[in-house]
Amino acid sequence: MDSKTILGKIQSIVQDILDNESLNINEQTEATDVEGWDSLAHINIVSQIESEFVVRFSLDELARFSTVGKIIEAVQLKAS
Amino acid sequence: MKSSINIPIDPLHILRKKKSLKRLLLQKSGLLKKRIAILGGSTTAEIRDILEIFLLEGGIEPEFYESDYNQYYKELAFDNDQLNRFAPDVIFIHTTGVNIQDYPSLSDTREDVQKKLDAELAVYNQLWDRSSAIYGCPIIQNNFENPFLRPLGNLDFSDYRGKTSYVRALNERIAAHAQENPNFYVHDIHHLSAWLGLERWFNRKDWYSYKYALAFECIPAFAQNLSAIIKAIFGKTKKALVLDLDNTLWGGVIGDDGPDLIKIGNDSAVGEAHSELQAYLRQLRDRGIMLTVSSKNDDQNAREGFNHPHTVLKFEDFAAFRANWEPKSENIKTIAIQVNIGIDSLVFLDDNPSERELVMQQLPEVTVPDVGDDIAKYASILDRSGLFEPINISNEDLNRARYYEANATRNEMQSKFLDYGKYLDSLEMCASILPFETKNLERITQLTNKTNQFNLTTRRYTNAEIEAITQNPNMISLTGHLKDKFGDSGLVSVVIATRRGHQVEIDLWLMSCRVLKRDMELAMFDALLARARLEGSTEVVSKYLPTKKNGMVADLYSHLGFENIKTLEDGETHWRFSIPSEAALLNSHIKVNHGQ
Repeated sequence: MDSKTILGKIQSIVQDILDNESLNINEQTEATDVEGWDSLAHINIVSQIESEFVVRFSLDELARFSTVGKIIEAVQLKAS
Repeated sequence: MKSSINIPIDPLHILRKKKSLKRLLLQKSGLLKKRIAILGGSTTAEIRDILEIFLLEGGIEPEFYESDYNQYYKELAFDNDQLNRFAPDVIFIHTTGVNIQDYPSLSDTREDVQKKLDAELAVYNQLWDRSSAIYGCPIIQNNFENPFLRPLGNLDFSDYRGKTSYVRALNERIAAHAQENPNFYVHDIHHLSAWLGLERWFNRKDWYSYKYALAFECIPAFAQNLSAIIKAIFGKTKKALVLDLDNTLWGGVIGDDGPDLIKIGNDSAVGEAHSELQAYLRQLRDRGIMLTVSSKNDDQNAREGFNHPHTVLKFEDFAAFRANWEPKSENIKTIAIQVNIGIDSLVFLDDNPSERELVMQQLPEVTVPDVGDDIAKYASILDRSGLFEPINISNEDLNRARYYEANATRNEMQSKFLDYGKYLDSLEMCASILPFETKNLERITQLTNKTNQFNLTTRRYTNAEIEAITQNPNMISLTGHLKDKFGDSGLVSVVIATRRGHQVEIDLWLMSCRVLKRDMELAMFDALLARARLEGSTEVVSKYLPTKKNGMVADLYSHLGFENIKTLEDGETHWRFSIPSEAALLNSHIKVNHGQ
């Protein structure tokens, strides 16, 4: 799956969880840039991403999710 | 967009859409505000959010108090101004397997293990006793799920040193506490975790990273199960099922196939699945859930189905039976009137998706589970839903079906009398009207939480509050018990009043719809006046607080001769009544016993 498709799906997840339809994210986005993306929302977002792409992240991988781009990389690695 | 949560639930959808769901659900009118304290042995933030969704869906708007991570003991064991000020309506203690302090070790004797159990329970007993003494509200606590690791293998179950064996013993003690304390409720995660699968239930990542003792994906099922108890405490459970017949209660179409060829019983797999559903419904009926039928059929054909040799349900098991060609939404409205409950207390079960869709559109208050087309799943979908969660099993519930049968006989009698008074006399009614008695406290609480129509103020009480009333010398409490020659209707009316100087104020006056139009309300009013007079009161004041459902008593006080002293914009009315010094009884058809 190409990173653009993955980004689109992640964006839609984040929009739903934060209840903000006009929210835009890109590969450089960090959680702290986005209003409402706190630790509680983060767990929900990661768990929805796991279900969406049918992947499971390890504790190590979770710790490296500093930007949306890193999440996309991890999805590509696992889902391929 | 639909604002309600589908049954069966879609956990990921709820987690993903919780914010917009909450926004929509908050638009519902008539939400009951309740304060809920969540005291966690692990992280509870998401549980709080999702529980809120399920409570809103059930008509309760929660305000939460949430402890810090793993602070449940500190919150309850010591003086706690914050929690005291919050004044919880319910306390939920979220402990799970991770909170078990000390498991047996292999060198332990049986006595050592008993001591460990005692120590574990002593902590909880301390918390339970303190909470009920200080906060006086219902307490809900999880039991324990089975351990995830079994160092003793299968022996873990049977050897007294096994963790699995230890958890079983703990759970038994928790169950025993619940049996003895009606204000303590067990949230059964031992069942829930088994149903979902322990492997899914506990996710090490969610535990190590965020201290969630149950996996994120399991939180919606957890919150749904927990919300069922809270809804039951506050009387928000469903009371009746409206059932389709063809391909729901039995396989096939009785009008086409004929009564002998419908599928029910062990002759076919499909028939067996329908039998299982009927048996499950029968068990719901036996504990007081009303069963009714709405079917597109000729009435005679439809009834024939219950003469089938393998039918579990009988025609007499239904409180209402509508088989005709009218739209189901119309039949459902008629059924609600016939069995005297609100439309929002009904659940509609039908295999036909277009019938379900129509009912959802025409009657959005009715709960319509999305049962799909696989009959094998129907009983389980109903069972998971928690829609019919009982708060306890009272004798009233067990006898409810009989009350409705007796009422049918009375209605038949009534048609034979031209004079209603003579009909009432012919019933040979006897009432006993007494102050609250300890043996009835649960039934009284149940009535305050379930009665919606003949209810002047619709105030809800907990067991603890009802018990406190019996101890308060400034309060008058009355229960009315009615029987007649057709049967015992049980405890059917409750009055709670407060004395202030020369005045008596009616806080609550309710009566079960089972005994409408029998003059029982007059007998209750006579009894209240007698009590007030005895206490030297000269005036009764009261309020009518309008709800969607209690329109039938809007004029009650006016009929009884009260003077209207205030009418508010929302329809709330305030009343006053001067107590005549000489008793003149209003009731003349019921023989009343005020003694013990």
